[in-house]
Amino acid sequence: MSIEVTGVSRLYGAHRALDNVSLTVQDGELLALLGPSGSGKTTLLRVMAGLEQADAGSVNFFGQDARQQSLRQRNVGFVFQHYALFRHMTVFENVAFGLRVKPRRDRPPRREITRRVQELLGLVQLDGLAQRHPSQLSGGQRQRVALARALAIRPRVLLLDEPFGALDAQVRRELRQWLRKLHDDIGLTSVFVTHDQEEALELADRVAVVHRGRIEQIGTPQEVYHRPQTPFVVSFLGSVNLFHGRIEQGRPVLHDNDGRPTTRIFVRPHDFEVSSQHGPDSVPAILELANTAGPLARLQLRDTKGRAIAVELSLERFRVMRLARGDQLYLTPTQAQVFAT
Amino acid sequence: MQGLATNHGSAGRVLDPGGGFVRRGLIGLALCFVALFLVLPLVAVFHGAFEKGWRLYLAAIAQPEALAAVKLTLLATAIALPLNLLFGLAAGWAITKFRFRGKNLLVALIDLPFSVSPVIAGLIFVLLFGMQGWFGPWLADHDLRVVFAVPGIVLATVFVTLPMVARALIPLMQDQGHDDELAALSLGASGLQTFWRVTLPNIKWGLLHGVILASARAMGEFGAVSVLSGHIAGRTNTLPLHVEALYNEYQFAAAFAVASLLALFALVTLALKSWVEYRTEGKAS
Repeated sequence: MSIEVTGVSRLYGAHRALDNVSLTVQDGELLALLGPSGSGKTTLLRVMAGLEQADAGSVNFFGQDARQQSLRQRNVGFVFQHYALFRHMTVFENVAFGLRVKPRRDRPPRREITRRVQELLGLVQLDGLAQRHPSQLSGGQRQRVALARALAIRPRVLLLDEPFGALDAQVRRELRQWLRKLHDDIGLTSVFVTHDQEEALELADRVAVVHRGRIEQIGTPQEVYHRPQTPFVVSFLGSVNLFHGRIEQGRPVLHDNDGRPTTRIFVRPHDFEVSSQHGPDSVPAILELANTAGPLARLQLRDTKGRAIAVELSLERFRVMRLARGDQLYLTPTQAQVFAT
Repeated sequence: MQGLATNHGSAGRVLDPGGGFVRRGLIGLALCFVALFLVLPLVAVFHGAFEKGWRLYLAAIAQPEALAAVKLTLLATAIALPLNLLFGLAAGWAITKFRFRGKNLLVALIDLPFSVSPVIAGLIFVLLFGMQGWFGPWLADHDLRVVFAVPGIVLATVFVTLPMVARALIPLMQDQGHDDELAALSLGASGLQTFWRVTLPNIKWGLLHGVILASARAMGEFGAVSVLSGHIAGRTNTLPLHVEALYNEYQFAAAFAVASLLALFALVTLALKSWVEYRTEGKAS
């Protein structure tokens, strides 16, 4: 166990940013804290780093109570959302900072510092940019400088706050794969914060879904995606349609107009069987919009009560069915998540 | 902007309803004001100073009273500036990096010297340190003079310039947040290392800007200093007070000569300020 968070709460005035959160980070894993903005995920990361104090609860850092440790003793590599690079220093000086401020007895000799910095710049593929200033770098390059700077102090754990948040989509995807490889190569324990579910599911070993200062669910990407435990987790991990209905003989039935008690049924857009023929338990709906610019055809339908339903199906199927706006279709869910109301 | 204007020519015209006429009119008006209220007086000062020739000009400046005034002005400024720097840094740091009760009150109080008339500021100190004031008898017992002496002038100068550095720093430090400091700390830097290596370099241009403004104000201050000085020629007259004294004695040429010196100080600080602003803008882009 690298970091053990137990019953941590953090208040901002009357707002509960963290509400009795417990979490264990396993050695060597890459853990994602996933949640919408304002969910408390960044606060949780900052409490783990020691940049913020918890109002209640404890943080245990490699077997030691973190409250007894200064930031320096904790030895955490923290990558800030906006990088927080020292703007008046060159890339080299930024990366060397953590080594140069060490007390004299721990400080490596000048040549060793130079060697280490060059090595790190090579690791993050920024050789040749050592003498640039942060303002002369692109977003992706700044990101990697921030990473190299955090790695320079040989941290016991690497914490990243929205590491790809400020980058455009293309760079994001590249850096994501690169970070995963880096994590595996140097065998570090890492925690990163993100609001992008795709990023969390693709990159992390485990995902903790954070909502309103609490952890809703924690598990592997497969677990949180396929076996979500709360309605929030379902709706946050990709788009989803909400129905009220019942489970009859193990199958979801999406009718709620016969006055009998119902449950909430979540169906993802790609979990529908689309047909032009009425079937048992199917939901009638009219096709309003179809967007075929992409790997899937994304349809927008409206049911008899005027509620919008999002459906995805393969382009092939879409073409075979010769669908057009205004068509009457029948939807049968093939898979659904059910929560009692 | 240019692309917009060419693509939507009509929209561009809406922004400039009178065509070049309005633009030229506004610029002309602004220039007229600047000429009338800034350039003309400045020219008049130098014209008045040199009206009776170089020799009289130099004689007026070389007067022992004038030199004493220059010295006193520079002394008051030299004492006020470091105090300002210290207070500005402390206040800026406290307000932007910490959360505490009464913060808004502190921010409001910092502006007090700007909102209070300088004459009242001077009177406050007379009330505190004058012979009839709260601390007057105690000071008299210990043979210390504040009012009508150099300490009073320094006190007044410090008071009226107090918000300058803090005002320059607070928005800057608020804008920068404290992630840089947290980054330095998490990398193992001590508090002092963080201040010298990260905070100070980040704010140095803002700091310099504030110091220059404060020195301009310190040198030119009249009201508060006037109340506290006692106008003892050669001893408690600062430059602005000396100018007034000369003027009241109908020594117009000498008054203008000393005034031109003051104007020169102002022009130098203005140039410095522009240079700092130029540098900061260069850094920002």
